[in-house]
Amino acid sequence: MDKILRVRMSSKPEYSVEEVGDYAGIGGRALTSKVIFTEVPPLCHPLGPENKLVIAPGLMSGSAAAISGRLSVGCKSPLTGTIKESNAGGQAAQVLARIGYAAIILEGESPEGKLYTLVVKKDSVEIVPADDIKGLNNYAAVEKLVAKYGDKCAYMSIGTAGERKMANSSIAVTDMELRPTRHCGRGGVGAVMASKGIKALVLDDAGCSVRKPVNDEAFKAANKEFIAGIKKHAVSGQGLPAYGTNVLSNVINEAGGFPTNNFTKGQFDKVHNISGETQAETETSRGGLATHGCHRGCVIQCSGTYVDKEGNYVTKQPEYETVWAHGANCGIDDLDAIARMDRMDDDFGLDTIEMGATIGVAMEAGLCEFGDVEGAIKLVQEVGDGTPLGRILGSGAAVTAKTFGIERAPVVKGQAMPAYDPRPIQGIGVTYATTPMGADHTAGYAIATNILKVGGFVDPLKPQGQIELSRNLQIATAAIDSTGMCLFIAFPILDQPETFNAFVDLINAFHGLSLTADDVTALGKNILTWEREFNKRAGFTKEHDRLPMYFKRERLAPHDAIFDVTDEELDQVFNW
Amino acid sequence: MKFIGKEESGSLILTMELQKGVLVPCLEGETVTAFILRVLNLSREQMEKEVQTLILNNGCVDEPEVRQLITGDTLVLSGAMPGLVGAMLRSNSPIKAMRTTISETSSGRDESVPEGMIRLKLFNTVLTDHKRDLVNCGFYIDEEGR
Ligand code: SF4
Repeated sequence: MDKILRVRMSSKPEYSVEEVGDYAGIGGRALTSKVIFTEVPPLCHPLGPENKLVIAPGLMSGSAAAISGRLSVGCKSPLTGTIKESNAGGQAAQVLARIGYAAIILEGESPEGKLYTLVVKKDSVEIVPADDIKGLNNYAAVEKLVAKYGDKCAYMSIGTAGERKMANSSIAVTDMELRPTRHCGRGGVGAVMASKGIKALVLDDAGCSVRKPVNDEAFKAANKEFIAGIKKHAVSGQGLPAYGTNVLSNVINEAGGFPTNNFTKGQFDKVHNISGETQAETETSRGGLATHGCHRGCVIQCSGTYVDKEGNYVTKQPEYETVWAHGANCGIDDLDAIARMDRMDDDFGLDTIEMGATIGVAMEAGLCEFGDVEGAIKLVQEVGDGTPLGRILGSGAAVTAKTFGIERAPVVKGQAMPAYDPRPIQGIGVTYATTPMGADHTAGYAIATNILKVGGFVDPLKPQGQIELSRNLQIATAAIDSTGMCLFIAFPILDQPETFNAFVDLINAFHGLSLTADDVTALGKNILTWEREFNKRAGFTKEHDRLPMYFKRERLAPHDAIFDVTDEELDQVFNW
Repeated sequence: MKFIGKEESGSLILTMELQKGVLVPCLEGETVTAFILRVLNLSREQMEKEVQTLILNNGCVDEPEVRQLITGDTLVLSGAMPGLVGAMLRSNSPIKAMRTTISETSSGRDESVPEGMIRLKLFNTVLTDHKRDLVNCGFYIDEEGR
């Protein structure tokens, strides 16, 4: 991973291969955010030629390190107007890293209507017209690409939502079965790829081998210990493989933080019909898979395969966020309908969180009733068809709320909140409000702070605990996002110090480094500083680090809670 | 109310019922910990390892050894949960400061439950691993739930 591929799109697309230069030694989110901070004018239009789309595997991707295949995509977001890093699994990160690229940077713009496929191999790069797949959705496009380029490549593509430059469009990444089921979903990155005139990327690592560590013996030993730690932990070794992330539905609902009917209630009375437990049992009884990885080398395998009553493939196992967004948030308790909408989102190229939140807003606006399955499916289809209503819905929850005169838009900086209500769970509200990405739960997902001592030890019993925790969690997450490791490694790391040591040893042995926890902190802080500085120059102030006012006014049952963290407290999050 | 005991074998129905909540007798003055050890047939060490998330009447329980159960309580037993929120919901989580608003609610207590019983819900790994223990112990379900 010692080179960068720059592709300059214009009426005559061209490319160059460069040394990594100033970007050496970083990967994933660190790299995407540093490039955007350094090279993109913050005031540019997200769909203009000055914006760039950066595709970067993590520092450990392409190696034999377990769970190292996460991909980061960065740009200025058309949904939020802020800097964006959107993260996905699938095969692309491993393949791209093995070909040797630390990043692909797409620049410029293509003449309107012109779309290309970028084919990247070990010794060649081609930019070929994409007339054969233009106008196709992801499943059909990938099928054609596989027929042409073979089943050994990884593919990235945009569906028709991306081609129409919708602010809620994603970039699909193929999984191990060559299905476009893993998505860089958040922030409208698909529209930016479309604005560059790229419909798809073909990544072919034929002739390349697994990246070799600097210290082979130490690497093997650390990897073994790391995998053992992951497998013996209750979350990563049992709960996630058995039920996937949807294992959360029942528990979050019980705690009163499961947003229902567009965030008007904290509990869904039919949750047991869509829970991870019911989902896993439904999948296995029909011949699907409840335990499956999103890329090769994942030893947790929180994903699965959802099949219909006849046992035919429908989609990958819908994740917790999807089951919530298309389920409880819309009053829907039908797993088959949720799976169908997940499939439609993947096919059109849409972020499931944003789409489900948007339908929730549309239901409140009266476009259909909460719980109306066919009505919800019809609304997603409108987006796929690109009708005028579909274009509004495809612009996300904030635009839809504005269009229909609805105050209750559950968004921060224009991006929809995920599946945790910030009133009973105030700490997550702090992260939603202050992350540079717009409302995002994964921004503060890594929970290893007190073990890592990242950002200093926090006394959780102090009243200020949640501010400090949110800060430290965001720092730790930014750092993990740059390794290409899945954030679910945070659990064994939190609980098992020997697994944390194995994780650090793994990175050090691979790169011949001697990283310490302080270095991890410094990296996380650097990433957040670049991101916040970019946003500041793009016109964002501390007044944008707020939840919508109704979360401070409307009480949520059963805890009768409002979000009462003060603005002054929120402003302390990045006060380091 | 219908009694479910050792002879019950319907796996899918049980999975649904146990998620929705079943009625289980509790002893006078019994603590959350004592109840779990008795009903799920666990040792203290096993309980700490297997039942990491405890929710009582919609609130997290950080002192299960102290909190006594009373008629109508709704108790949820779950394994360790993923995600930031999952981690903060664990009993005595190091980041429990992030969920200070989640405390027991009166709506979480079920007024319709007969004297001497609580409503028990089992989720995820606890459900899979201890479904049989609970059946062996015996419990009641609401008839209309069947
Ligand atoms: S744990 Fe889940 S999300 Fe993470 S890499 Fe594995 S399958 Fe993908």
